[in-house]
Amino acid sequence: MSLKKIFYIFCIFFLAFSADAFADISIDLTLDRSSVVLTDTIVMKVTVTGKQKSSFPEIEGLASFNVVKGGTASRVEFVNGSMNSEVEYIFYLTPLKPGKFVVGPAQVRIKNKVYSSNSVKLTVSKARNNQAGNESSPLFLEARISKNNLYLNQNALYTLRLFMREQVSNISLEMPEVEGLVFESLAEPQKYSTSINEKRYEVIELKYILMPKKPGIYSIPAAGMRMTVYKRNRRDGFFEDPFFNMRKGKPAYLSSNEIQLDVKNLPKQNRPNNFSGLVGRFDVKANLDPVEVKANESATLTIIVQGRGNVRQIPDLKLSDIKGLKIYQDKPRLNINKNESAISGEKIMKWAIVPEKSGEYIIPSMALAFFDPEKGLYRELKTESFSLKSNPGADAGSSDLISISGDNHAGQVKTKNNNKQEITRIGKDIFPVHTSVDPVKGLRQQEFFNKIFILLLPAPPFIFLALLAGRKLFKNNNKNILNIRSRNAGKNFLKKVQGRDLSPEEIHAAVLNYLNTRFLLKGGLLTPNEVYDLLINRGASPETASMLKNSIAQIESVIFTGEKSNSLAQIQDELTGILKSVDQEVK
Amino acid sequence: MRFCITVSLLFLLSVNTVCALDGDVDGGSENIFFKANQFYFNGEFEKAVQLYESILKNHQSNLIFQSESRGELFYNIGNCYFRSGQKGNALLNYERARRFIPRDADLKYNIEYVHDLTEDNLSQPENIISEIFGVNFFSQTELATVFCLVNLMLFLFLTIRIFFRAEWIFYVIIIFSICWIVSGISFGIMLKQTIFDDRVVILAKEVDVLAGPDKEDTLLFKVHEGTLAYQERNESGFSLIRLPDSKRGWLVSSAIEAIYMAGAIQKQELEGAKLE
Repeated sequence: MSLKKIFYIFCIFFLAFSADAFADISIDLTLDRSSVVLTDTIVMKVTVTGKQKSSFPEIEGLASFNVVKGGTASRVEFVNGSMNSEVEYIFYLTPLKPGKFVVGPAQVRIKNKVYSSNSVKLTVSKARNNQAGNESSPLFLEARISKNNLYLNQNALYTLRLFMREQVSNISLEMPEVEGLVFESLAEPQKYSTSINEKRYEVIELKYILMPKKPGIYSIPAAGMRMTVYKRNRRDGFFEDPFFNMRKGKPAYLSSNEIQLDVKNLPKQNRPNNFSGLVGRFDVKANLDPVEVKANESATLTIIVQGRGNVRQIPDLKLSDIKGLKIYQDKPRLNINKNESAISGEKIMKWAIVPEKSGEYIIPSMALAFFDPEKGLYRELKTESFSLKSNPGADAGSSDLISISGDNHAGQVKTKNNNKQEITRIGKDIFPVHTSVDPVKGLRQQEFFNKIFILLLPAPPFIFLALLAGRKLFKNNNKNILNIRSRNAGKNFLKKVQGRDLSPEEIHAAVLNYLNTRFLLKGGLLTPNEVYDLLINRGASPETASMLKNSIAQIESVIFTGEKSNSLAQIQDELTGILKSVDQEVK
Repeated sequence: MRFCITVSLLFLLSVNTVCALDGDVDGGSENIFFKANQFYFNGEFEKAVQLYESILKNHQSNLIFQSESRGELFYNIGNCYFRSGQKGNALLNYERARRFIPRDADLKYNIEYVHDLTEDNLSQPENIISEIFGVNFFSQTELATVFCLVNLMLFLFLTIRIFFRAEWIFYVIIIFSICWIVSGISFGIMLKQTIFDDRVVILAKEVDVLAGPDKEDTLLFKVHEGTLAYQERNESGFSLIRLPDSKRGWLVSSAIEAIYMAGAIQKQELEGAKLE
């Protein structure tokens, strides 16, 4: 096996080993949707990361579903020099009854160790009703809204579904535009299949959050979709995909149903003074850490407002000035999450609070007002009030300042009560001169090394080129070529003959070729006697010459008589030995 | 072959003889070095500088292989100038030292400190190619040594391959060829940066930078001691400089000195010729 192959095999083994040895194994279960109707098909994926092979997953919670295996896919990725491998098991679930279900966990066994995944909740509702489109039509577009009666700034889920029994491509969407209503895309479009009136449809689902910015009664106009439709043909079979379809598709335009929406203004009654327009369901968490500090040291007050609704309108809470405390507010951070059906988020607000003197300080509570559309009421949440205790701080210049070095460039160490050291620089200067005697020795050696450099830099290429040129010249000389061939005649004979089952003609030709090349003859057939004379003239011993003569005679006898001889292999071996002797004896 | 071996042996013998002779001479250099250190610690910085410089003058400076020791001496000279209140000369010698001992922590700290003390707020542009090829991390001698060894190994294996065509030699040659190219580029960049180093340091406390090489020309701006600039050309006792922020102008040549020693030597020779 060549070195190249060994190198590649080594690389492959190394990569495979490293992936197995160092990868973290994790298992993840996902469903393509969290709420479906009874006739829908759900795609479930179990992904095992860190391994390319595992036992087939055992999944709990599938008793109420018809499960069809959708195959497996394994992947190996190189990201930033590290190798990740994963295997994905795909299943198609069809619910057998409506209800709320928990799918999972999935379990796989890898090297006698069991790994478990997460569980996922799934809501299955009864078959859909109020279909907007013509259910007998092969293509229709349906628009739905989660609520038709909303309050100002209350979010609703607007869903568009394209039902298809035909092949389509080049789909483009025209969303309705209504003044006072804002649509915000929730997630990537989802694709699944469902059945209506026992007919199978492919569905593309798009979800938007609808936010009313003005009260009133709205009629949301139809959404439109443009596409190219390829009519099914019974003969299409394998090539029914538009990619293979040579027939031209027909352009089509689909409109969804219109939707009525009633948006009420927020009630004026009981509206808190600090209400900022926040609508939804929210929660407030507050924390002060630490609750006891030294004077001039800081504590951090953290307030987190989180919930679902118009999270972008979560107000920045304000902490009023407190005598004896220095308050520094960080820039609030807003994190927004979009899930399948709503927008949620959290706003994190932080304050650094530094007591100027020792004592006890009260951090007052802060209030957040919002409107809860589910209950139709304003709510006000208050944070906890905190007590911050400040102890006397250490005086600068006291005995707990320790010098860590006698050098004038050094800093100082200020000890703290918790035994941690804080280094403060109190002076700055250059580092001193280097006083080692080596500098002078080094200077003495530099000229020597310089001469070595001058020798080593041009000498190797010069020697290489000289040798290369010499070898080329040597090889190009005709005399030398013949001499080299003559020297290698024995080797070439061995290559031809050794370990091969040759015919007597081939052995005869190989011997004559050896003799012609070895003794620089012009070619032609030599009789056994001529061979004998030639060898004797060239200095071979009479025994060797006679042995070669006899061997050639034997081969010729086999060739000319046509008799089969069992001793051919033996002659072949003898010839190898005889020609080696000839090589040694004849110079 | 015998001829080659004989020539090599004769060469090595001659080199050793030179070293032995140098060794005799440098018995005195070591004493000078000790004396210079003593002067430094006694606060006699001018005398210390003279002695350190005398050691440097005793040894050739236009070699490809230059000992790290030169860096140590320039560093000490820089310290002497700093202690005597000459920030410009201190920075000049620290920058000269950086070529020989680029990773020395003391040197890095001192350069940073002197930069902090300079009045002009100018940051030096970074050369990405030099960073990639490690030119600012390795000294000229280190790069020359690596290139030399890689060169030797590459041609050694190429020569072996003329006679023995083994497959493993092919892979070794590939590896050494890559190393040869990388180390060659690094060494080349280093040589280019050294030979064409046009950086100068402002030595005067404050210098007027003018619009032309004449005292009567318009004053453009002022630069202060310790500022690094690039010298473009000289004309009648004035030098055209360019600052890292691209401001250009003329100032008196005596107010600056080139970091690259060959440039400084040429300047001294020119000044000497003028005086004569």
